Amino acid sequence: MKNQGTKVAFGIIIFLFSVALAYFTAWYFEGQSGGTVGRHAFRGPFMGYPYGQNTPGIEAFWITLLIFGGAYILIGILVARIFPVSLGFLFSADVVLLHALNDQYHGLNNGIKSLLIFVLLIALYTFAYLKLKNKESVPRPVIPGQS
Amino acid sequence: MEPLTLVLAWPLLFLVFGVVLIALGEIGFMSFMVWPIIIVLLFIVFGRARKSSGAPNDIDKLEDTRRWLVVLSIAAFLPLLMRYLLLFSQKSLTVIIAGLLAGFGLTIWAMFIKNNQVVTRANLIGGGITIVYIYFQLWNLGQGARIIAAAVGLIVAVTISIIKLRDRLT
Repeated sequence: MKNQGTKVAFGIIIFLFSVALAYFTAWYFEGQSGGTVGRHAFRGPFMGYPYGQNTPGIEAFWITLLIFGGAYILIGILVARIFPVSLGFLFSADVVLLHALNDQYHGLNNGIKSLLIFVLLIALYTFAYLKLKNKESVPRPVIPGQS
Repeated sequence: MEPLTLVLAWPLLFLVFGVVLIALGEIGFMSFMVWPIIIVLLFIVFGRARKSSGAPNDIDKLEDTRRWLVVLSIAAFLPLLMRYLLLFSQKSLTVIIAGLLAGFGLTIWAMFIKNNQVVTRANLIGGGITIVYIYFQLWNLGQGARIIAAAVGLIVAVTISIIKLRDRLT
């Protein structure tokens, strides 16, 4: 149990540090490209930025995040045998990619959205067919002489 | 390969479910559906854990959560895919008819699947929502389209009934 707790703790630490690294680097490059550092991390109508509005440095911000997301996925796959490290990097890739997608999704062409969802559906069906079949019930052992 | 599959499964599922929530959040009133879906998922997982016989262990709960994440993701993606295809094709009649056939095809497929409850449930829920959505789109195309849609639905229902209930009729 203590070992499990240590693994979870390290996984969370790796997750937090990797997310922090990605965002700090992205903000740095945004600032270098003429943007206002930190203001655009959570753009949206509620923060006063209409979707689709391009602000200085924002492209550098998203490109950096996407690069980090891809790198974290690669690292997560490469160290797949070390679960805490791998899962920490993969979940931080999730955060980064979902944030990027949430901001850009509304500006995507409907054809691209269809393609994205179609690809995800194929992946889900494949996963469901290969890994989520019904569990076969284990037959009760029959003991001779007992009814 | 197995450690890789184990490691990738959960982050991928979270990524996919995140895309579902983002896509649903984009659709006007449907953004209100996001939180009920999450709450329903939690009820399903923890409610089933309480009802199951014996002490449910963490592995069973995780397995249930994983299954229902996949079911809800597929069920949400199917009508979303139809919506985007309709928007992309500017609501062409061909795409509407294809969508109707796809919706019915999915629900029929669900009835004949064996040994995979996840795909069965996903197809039933997703196919059902897709059919309802397509019928709403057809409503705006006039009387002829409505008649055709009703006729198609009736033919499919009767055919399935005959196939599935044949033993009980004779």
